[in-house]
Amino acid sequence: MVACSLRLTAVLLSLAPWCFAQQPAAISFTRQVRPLLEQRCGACHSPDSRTSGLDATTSASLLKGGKRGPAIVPGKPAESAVLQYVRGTREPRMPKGMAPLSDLEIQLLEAWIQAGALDDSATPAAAPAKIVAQSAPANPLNDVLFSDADQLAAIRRQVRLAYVPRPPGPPRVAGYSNPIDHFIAAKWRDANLPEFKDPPPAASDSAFLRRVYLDLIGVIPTIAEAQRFVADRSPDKRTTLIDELLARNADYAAHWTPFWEEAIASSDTGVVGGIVRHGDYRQWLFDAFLRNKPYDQMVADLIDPTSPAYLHPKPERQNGDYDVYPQFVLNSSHTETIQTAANTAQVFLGTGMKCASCHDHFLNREWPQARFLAFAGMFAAHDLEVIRCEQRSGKFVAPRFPFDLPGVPTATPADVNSRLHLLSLMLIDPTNARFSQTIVNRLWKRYLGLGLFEPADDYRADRAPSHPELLNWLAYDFMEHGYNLKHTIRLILTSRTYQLQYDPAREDHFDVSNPTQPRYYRSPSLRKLTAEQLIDSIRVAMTQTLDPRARLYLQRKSTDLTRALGRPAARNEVSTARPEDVAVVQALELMNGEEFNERVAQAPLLKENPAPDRLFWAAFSRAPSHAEHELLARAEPLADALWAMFASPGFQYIH
Amino acid sequence: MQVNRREFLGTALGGAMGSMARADQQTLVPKADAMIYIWLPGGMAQTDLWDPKKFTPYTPGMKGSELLGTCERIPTSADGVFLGKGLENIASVMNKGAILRSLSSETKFGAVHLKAQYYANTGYLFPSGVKVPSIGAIVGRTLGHRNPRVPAYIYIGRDVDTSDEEKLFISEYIGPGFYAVNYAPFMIPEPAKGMATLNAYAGISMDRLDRRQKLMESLAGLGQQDLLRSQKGGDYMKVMAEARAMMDSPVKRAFEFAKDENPETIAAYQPEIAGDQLLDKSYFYGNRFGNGLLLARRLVESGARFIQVEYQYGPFKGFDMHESGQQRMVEMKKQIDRPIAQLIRDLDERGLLDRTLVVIATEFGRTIASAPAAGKEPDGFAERNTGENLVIENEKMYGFHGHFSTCSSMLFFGGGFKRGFVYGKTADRHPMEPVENPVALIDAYATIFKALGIRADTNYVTEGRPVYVTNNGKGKPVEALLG
Repeated sequence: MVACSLRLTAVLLSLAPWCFAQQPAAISFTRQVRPLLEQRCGACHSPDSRTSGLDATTSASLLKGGKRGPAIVPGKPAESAVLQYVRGTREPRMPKGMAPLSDLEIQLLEAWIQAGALDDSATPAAAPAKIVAQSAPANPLNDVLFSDADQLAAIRRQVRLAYVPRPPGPPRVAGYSNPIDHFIAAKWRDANLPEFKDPPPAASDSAFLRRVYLDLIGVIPTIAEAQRFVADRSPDKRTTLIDELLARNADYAAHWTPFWEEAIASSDTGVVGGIVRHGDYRQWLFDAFLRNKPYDQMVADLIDPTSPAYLHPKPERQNGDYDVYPQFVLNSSHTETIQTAANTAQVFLGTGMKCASCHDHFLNREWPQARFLAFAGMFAAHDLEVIRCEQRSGKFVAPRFPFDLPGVPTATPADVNSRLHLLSLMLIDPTNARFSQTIVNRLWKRYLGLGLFEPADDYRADRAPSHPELLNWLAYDFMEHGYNLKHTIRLILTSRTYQLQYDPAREDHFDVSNPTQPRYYRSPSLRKLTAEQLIDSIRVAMTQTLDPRARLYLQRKSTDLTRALGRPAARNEVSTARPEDVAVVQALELMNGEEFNERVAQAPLLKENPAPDRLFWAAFSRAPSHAEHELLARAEPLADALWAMFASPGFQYIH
Repeated sequence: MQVNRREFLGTALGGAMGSMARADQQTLVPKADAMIYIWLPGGMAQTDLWDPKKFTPYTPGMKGSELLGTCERIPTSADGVFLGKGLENIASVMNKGAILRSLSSETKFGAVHLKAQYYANTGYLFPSGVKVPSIGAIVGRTLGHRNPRVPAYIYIGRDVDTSDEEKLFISEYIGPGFYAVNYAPFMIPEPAKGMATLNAYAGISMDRLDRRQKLMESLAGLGQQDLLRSQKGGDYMKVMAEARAMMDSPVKRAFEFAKDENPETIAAYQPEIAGDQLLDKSYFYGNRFGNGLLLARRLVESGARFIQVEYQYGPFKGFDMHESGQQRMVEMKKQIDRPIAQLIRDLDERGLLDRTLVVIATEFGRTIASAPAAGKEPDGFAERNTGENLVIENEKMYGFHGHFSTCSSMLFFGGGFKRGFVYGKTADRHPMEPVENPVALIDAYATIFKALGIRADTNYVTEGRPVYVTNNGKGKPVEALLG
């Protein structure tokens, strides 16, 4: 399919003038006229059946004619008997007793005679076409028109990506193979960091193992998985493991789903207490990640009501008197519309526009209010009024996408579904750089701890990202690979940068009051396990199996523990980040909370009464040191050893 | 004992400060150090409670417009200030408080309680585009702890472990919003049970708890030194130690009111009606509410900053009165009157009322229903209705059943507010909207904040932008309410 679309791309890029201004083209006797004559006249006027002495199937025999003289006069359609008969101006109308020829068929004959009634059967011809009366030449766009949705999306990507200049490749730095590492090491070199000459160490096998499990499927490995990996001597075992985990589609999807549920404020119930929230996208999201749907397509499917994969949630009764249709795009009021636009900008363009919904953005000159309202208008059925801090102005703003994209129609459709369709195409368009940069930045932040631009929801044109060339290159590479999330994830996870050992002395920090402080990625940043990662990992450690039905993200119930760990009770607003703070209320839940203590104490693994070393493997995916072994061996009861491991920072963080 | 703001921010008591941006300098002189927020959701009928009108007894077939008040007005200890009958206890302490009778919202919430409650608790309309913090989180974050071992924000009287969507929604708007878990409330669903996590879990002795904690620290010290050297890992260990310290905190003593308080005091906090005497026996939180107020007083004494006490909201329950409103109002008064009055008296007698602000609030007021539906249940979402077209055919329809975002009352006791004072005036006939000095919620908030020493334009940054404690930082204190 890729080859096909590449060919089509070449065609499409070269055919622009041609498909709109149709030029007169030569008519082929062999491919167009003869099939018509054979089909409609051949029953009576063929070499085998010369009724009235006429064979009507070759140019020469028509010229020769039959009992009533020549059937054609080249260049003179009006004098040609065949046309007089088929038109019925001469009796009997031909084909006799059959349906008359269509206007198109008659026009074809007329044009052929007018052009000299040439016979091209001597020249090599394509296989005889069965289609009759084709009035236009073969058009390569037909391949596009009849391609399926995925092919069409691939073609669109290719055509539109051709407008984007290919960014410079990675700077060459000896000793690295992954392109990411070249970018990162080049910055070390330019900043004269000692790490350029003396690279920081890679993470140990067990640290890498735990990190990559938590990052890709959201849980720690079982003892068997960990021991198998540590014992494996093959040099490419890390890459093999990354590929194996990426191929665990359902576990991979289960780990992504809660992130996106919060990012789009997917709600278990669309309407609660009379409040309309967003629809329930859990299964929809899971399915998209399960089959690794191209990211641009997923976003288009979320926003474009004309997309076949658009989620049309079921209507829900609200107070018994009217129905509502909760979904991500809400636009039944000014407030809903501007919030949908601001949410879309935040999540998919990494751009904070909420300030501009009420007034010109004070902090980011890029966003006057009118620019934002023009964008929001693309989500609405009508132009939006300028309402400045709740004061109506009577002025309205015409809808307009906020970024100029080459070659995109400038007119905005009148009806809201068409607007959303156009909007979704512009949003995901390769020339809309912020779209792809935002998602690759989110991936980077997810796996390295800090984004290439920070905050990841507040891209600022006036603030350079940490590694602008890398960001640009990653985004282009992502687009070039069909917005394939797994491609870019694999690229990041196989880099040495990702696989470096955690080192607090080298770790980067982001401080909003000093946003331009450089980041070097000489060590990943420490990341707190999410509530889902923590609780699901404890279950894996205790049961030595991953039960996909028991994962926390499927649980509607909110508890003291899940809230203390940062899982929201309800997803009322879009959010792309769980706070990583630790607080006393959380520590108390770990220490004395019923849920945490029960989870630890009732572990099946404990009932087997295993050796302390086995517990250590279950929690930390490695063998304990002698000192660690001694400590655990003295623990009484054994459940306390488990509690101590699970409550320790070594378990609570990805490092 | 008061920890100043700088010290509070300097300690990691609340844990890692994350990406917090500094609020504006605190330049106001606080008149109150602590606040008890008595939250009575459901939409209290102000006309039967805090802003009584002419009593018009039930007569079959009376017009809605004739129904002005369902009870007599009673004088209070404040000259010229009247309350609805059934609030005799609160009337006796009214000389210690102020009533704002003209709280008015331009947004009409219609049927939707939760939106109005979200607004009342956060000062922002839902959806607000960002996870906004509740007033308790704002006060807790901005003023910090009064006593480092006592939580700054404590919430009493609401069940939380739930899969019920409405309750989950509520859990978010009484929570810390984007301030995150450091500023989350310590939830005390049942005052008599205290806060479970301040005690070792069942079957675990304190010795064992400490051994276990030490084991964790030793383990971390062996194989996890890298983490301990990091900012986040260091904060984590500090917070674990602080949680342990809080188990020995004075706050625990506060929960032992049943043991410590004399029986008369406990009795004085109880409702004057029992659950089995109610029209709807399925919904009764009277004792929990009364004990909650007693606990609130004890928590203030222990050093808590902000305590919210709720009479737990349930649709069509409690103060959410649609049918049989008059009778149910009588029952609700019997549940809140004595405990609230006792709290005020108690704080005053202990010399705490001067520096403790007690606020009573609800999400909107009530008015006459607009039209009866199915001959029985009047339509409840009337707003500016005169009641001309409503015929009250039976006693179930007698009462104030319409949601009224246009007007409600809010009360303030102590904490720098004027005493025996009324602000704002409402019409004596329907629609009973403010006719003098209407006050927007953000201005009421700004007034509370000013009493606590918090500027209305205090803000915290999230997603790269400031979010103010009053919307856009524009709340203007109602100076007339402050003493």
